Amino acid sequence: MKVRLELKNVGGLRGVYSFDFVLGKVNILEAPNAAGKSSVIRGLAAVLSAPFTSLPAEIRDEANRLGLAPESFINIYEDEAYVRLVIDDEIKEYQIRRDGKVLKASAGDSRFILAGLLTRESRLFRNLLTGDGNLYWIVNIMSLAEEFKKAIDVIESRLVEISLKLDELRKRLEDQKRLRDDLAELEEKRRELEREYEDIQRELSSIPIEDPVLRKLSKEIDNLREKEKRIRNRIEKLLKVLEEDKRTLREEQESYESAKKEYERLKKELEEAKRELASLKPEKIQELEGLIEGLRIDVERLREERRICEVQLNLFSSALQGIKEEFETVTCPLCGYGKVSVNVLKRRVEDLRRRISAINAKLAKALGDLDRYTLEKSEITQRKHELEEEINYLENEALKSVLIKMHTSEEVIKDYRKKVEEREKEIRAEEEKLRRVRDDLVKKAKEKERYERERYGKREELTTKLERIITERENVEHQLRELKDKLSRISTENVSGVSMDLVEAIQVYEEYEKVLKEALEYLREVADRERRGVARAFNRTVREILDELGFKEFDSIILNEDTYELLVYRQGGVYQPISSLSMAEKSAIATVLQVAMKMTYLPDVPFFIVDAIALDFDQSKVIKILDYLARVAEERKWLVVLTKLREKGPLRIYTYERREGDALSVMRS
Amino acid sequence: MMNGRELGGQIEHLIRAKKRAEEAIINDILNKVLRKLVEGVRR
Repeated sequence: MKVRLELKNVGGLRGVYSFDFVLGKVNILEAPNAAGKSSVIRGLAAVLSAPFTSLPAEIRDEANRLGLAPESFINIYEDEAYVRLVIDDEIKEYQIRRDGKVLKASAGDSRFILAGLLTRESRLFRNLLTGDGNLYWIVNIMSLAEEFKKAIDVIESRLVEISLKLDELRKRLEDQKRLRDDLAELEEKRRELEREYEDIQRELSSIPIEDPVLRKLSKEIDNLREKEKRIRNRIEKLLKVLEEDKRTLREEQESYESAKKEYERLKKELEEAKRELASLKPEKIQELEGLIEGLRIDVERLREERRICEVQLNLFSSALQGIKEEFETVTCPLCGYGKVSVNVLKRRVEDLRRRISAINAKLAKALGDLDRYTLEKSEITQRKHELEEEINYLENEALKSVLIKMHTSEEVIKDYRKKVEEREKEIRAEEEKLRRVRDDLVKKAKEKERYERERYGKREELTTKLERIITERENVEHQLRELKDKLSRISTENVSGVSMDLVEAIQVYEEYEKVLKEALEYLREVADRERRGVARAFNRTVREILDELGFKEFDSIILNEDTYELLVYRQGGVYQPISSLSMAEKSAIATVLQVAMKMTYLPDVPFFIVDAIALDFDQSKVIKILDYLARVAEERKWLVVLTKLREKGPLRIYTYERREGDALSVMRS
Repeated sequence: MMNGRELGGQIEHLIRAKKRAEEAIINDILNKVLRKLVEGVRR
């Protein structure tokens, strides 16, 4: 049966390459260096191990080492690689992009990477060559123990969640209990408030809203207020009238005072006039009259004397005028008989002139005195008359008039004083009334206040208390609501889509925990059994192979079922530490173990890849191994690929035939 | 009441059949167990 492997852009092979193999045979792939041997191994390993999801660390490391990571798997000039394996009518594919995205992958087994390849780089080879005999990884990865471990991890993780959930639920249960206690306490408080509220309501309803006593008191107070208002108005009016009267009284008093002053003044004036009049004595006037008379006589006499003188003068002057000679004499003009000379005449004229002049002077003086005395007398008379008139006026008119006025004012004042007194008395009376009304008002108001305090103070007190209770009750109800909300929130748990109370939820989770712990215990046992069973199966296969191959130098090669240490026993059951084995022996044992691993753990994957370099040990053993592989391939319908270096020439594939010497020729060529 | 060992056997069977343990499937089984327990308590 043919098997075709197609590679596109895998490793060093750029483009599409096809390789045909024969199933049930050891296929030898011979090529020089860089001709594509590694690419064929990578392509086969990839298509049989993909899709590489959730790889254990050991397999991932081996895959990278083998060059299955995108950067080494895809040809450096391309971004995508493709592998196609056609086995009869079965097709396996693997396609990957440089960014690591797997575009196509048939279901493979990632364990092929560890079990399906025999090269010097294989994990088993490295173990042996470095003297490390701990093969726990084989039983762990190759068996299902690792898978059971995964399931155990999932369950353990779930158990941690359950444990946390149970802690939370138990705490919530405690909280719930506490909250329920709080709730009960609050509800009791609310009931108490409710009772208190009803008691107060009852007490309040016993106090009548319409109170006749209070109404009577209020009416009385209103009446008193009205009365007080009326009295106040009356007092106000009286005060206005009083003010008016007082003003009139004041004016009248001022008028009286003014009249009194006038009277005093007039009286004084009268006294002065009388005194002045008294000072004007009649003797004085008589004296003046006498003087005037005397002066008048003097004036007459002087005037006569002057007339005589003037006549004589005229006579003598005329006589003188008639005289022409100075020495002439003339008859005396005066007597008419004697003779007088001019000189005498002249002397006489001169003398007369002197006498007239003297008389004139005397006359002027007398006339002046006369005028003065006459004036003085006239003035005194005039003054006296005036004074008499004034006195008469003052006595008979002015003083009388003022006295009348004063008298009238006195009457008015008296009248108004009486009026003011009356008004004041009246006001005092009204004020007394007002005081009494106010006293009554205060008394009544106090009475009302006292009554209200006694009666309605209680009501107010109850109302305040009621308001406090209502507020407190609202508060309590609010707290209750919040508490209930909280309680409701913490009291139920959604378990798997079903809402249940905490006790039920705890019951479920406790049961769940119990079941999972049992399952966990079971799986741990299974995993352990699996490891032991796998180790036992491995040991059995190793024994069979050793028997088949006839490697006489080894009594047994055993994987310890407890420690998973590889134990090598020489003939006679002598134990030999791996580190003390020769390189050839290590390689031979590694090859046997690798084949055993493949046959034990991946018997259903019909591919096995062997790098000829790994078979660099005792030729007789290698031939036995090749024959054994050829037999296995034939019996089990496996495809064994043996890659082999060729010095020159193209890549070629041919099958290994189990003929005498063929193996030797294969290994030598 | 559910037996934990039966659950373990169920998971073992699944792993052996699939040759690997798929976390999602195991979680699904565990969730089903929880649901059954819930139903049991409810009944």
